Amino acid sequence: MRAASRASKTADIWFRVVAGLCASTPVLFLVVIGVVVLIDSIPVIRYMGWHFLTGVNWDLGDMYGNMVVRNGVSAPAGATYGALPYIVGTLASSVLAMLIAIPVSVCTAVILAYRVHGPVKSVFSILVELLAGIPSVVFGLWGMVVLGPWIVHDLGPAINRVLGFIPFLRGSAGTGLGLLNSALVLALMVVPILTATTRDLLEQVPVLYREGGIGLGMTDWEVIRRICLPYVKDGLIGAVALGWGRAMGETMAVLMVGGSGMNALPHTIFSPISTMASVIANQLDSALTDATHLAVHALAELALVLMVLTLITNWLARILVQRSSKTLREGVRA
Amino acid sequence: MGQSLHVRDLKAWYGNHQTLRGISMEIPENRVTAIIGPSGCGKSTFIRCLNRLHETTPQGRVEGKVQLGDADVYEMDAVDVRRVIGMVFQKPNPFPTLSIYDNVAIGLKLGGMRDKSAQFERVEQSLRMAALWDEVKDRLHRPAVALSGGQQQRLCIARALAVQPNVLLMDEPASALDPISTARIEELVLSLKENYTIVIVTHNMQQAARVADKTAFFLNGELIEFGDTTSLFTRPQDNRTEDYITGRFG
Ligand SMILES: Nc1ncnc2c1ncn2[C@@H]1O[C@H](COP(=O)(O)OP(=O)(O)OP(=O)(O)O)[C@@H](O)[C@H]1O
Ligand SMILES: [Mg+2]
Repeated sequence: MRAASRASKTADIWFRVVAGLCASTPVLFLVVIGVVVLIDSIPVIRYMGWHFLTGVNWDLGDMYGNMVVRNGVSAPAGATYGALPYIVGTLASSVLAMLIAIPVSVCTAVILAYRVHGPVKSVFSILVELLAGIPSVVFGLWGMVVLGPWIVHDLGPAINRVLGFIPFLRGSAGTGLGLLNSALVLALMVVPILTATTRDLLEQVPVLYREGGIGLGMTDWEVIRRICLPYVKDGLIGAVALGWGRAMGETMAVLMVGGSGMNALPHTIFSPISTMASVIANQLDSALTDATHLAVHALAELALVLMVLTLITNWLARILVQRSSKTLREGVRA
Repeated sequence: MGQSLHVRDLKAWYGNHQTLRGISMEIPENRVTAIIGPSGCGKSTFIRCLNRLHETTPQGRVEGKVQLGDADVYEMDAVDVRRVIGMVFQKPNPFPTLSIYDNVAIGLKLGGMRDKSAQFERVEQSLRMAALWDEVKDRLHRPAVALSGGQQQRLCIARALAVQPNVLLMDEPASALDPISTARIEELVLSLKENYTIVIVTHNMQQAARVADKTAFFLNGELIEFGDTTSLFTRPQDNRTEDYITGRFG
């Protein structure tokens, strides 16, 4: 056997160093961004404490009046930063969006993976992927111009009529901008990625297993429900977590169709909302005029909470995936 | 009880490629019928037409008539057809996300059997028929993929038997298995024919001779010869059959 030359050994060392650096960049970025946002939030954490998470009012205070000092932090008089409506807005709009997007995506993916073949399939697939490439501001515009009036005139009254016995679903559709509109726009933005991923997953289900189900006299739906979906469950959970994270972080579209709800929790599906991301974008300008900088720090803490929430959802998804693959592995070992 | 199958002028295509060129045969009830022939001659396609599985493959197309007893298989609901004509595949394919028990029980559950104890009884009975019960009775709730290949194949047989079909189609059920597992499957086939009509595809002529009452020889999508197994192997009527069984081609 040929002994490894010095040159190839050096090359290998270089390769390891570079690969190690590349592999650690995601972690590095995550840590750096997290630390920066955390440090930036400290003044507000001291000023507001837990009330940041539980307060309902967000008021930059009288920026041209007196300053007050609390816990060693100076702030404009009357300033208070209660992020609960935005946390709720973020969670409500993204969860609702996922509740709409998951069934739609799974059904579309099933059709793309199993029902259509040849050119129809490629055209459909391309359309879905094109949808994924539309900038969010276009979705926002569409939500304002098309979806808003439709909610006011058709969807809102219909929901009131059919599901109005549920308090959360009863109420005036207002301007058509709000929680429902945000959820629909977010769903539309998540559907393409979720559909494409689910389709790829479903195509990986060995035909052998599907035929096993068909041969046993299962209907198409039973084959999908009992064989295909369980088979792709792990991947699906991952895709849903990614899509959810995206929906929570989406800024522009929600800013346009959320109705800029402030200082109140949404009490119906039609209430105006703001999400953490949209508030950051929306408020940054006025926050910069705060001489104490506390308003900017408050937005930083909002970013921190958003990051933590996204991480938690991803982590939960990971645990779910690990648990299901662990039971499978344990079974194999036994 | 088994039911007979009458096949009339069955033709099948993959896209433009015709793989069955008009097959007619009478498959008797409560007998084992073997299908032999060289690779690619259409054996799998043939039995996949009997339970209407062929039409689920993209581009798959069928013409002709298949009758189960008095019923026209191609006029029945396809799902119902597959409940009375069960199938065992060449590669063991237990559902990987289900336990051993659920693999057998799922057909019962979907068929509407709600009563748990009746379900359990049927699962046990099916596993016993498939000669698997003693090996798995202590780990019924383990994943099915934890079984060996031969056990998996017997599990697939139990799964097919649980819904009590009239006909059992087997596509080279032992080709992926070792000699001992193969022997067990063959014993199983022989014991099942009292209650089922069995159609078995095999590459192995000794196997056909051991288990089958009747044997059909396929070549290039045509049925060349069909008759009692012993006479087909000892006094083939067609030269091509003789060439094949004496190993001159295929
Ligand atoms: N999914 C498919 N798409 C296109 N052609 C196919 C497909 N499956 C089989 N064929 C073709 O149909 C013909 C018959 O195939 P079939 O699987 O029925 O043969 P077989 O007799 O079962 O062969 P083997 O003994 O190798 O299993 C072959 O020529 C094969 O190439
Ligand atoms: Mg075959």
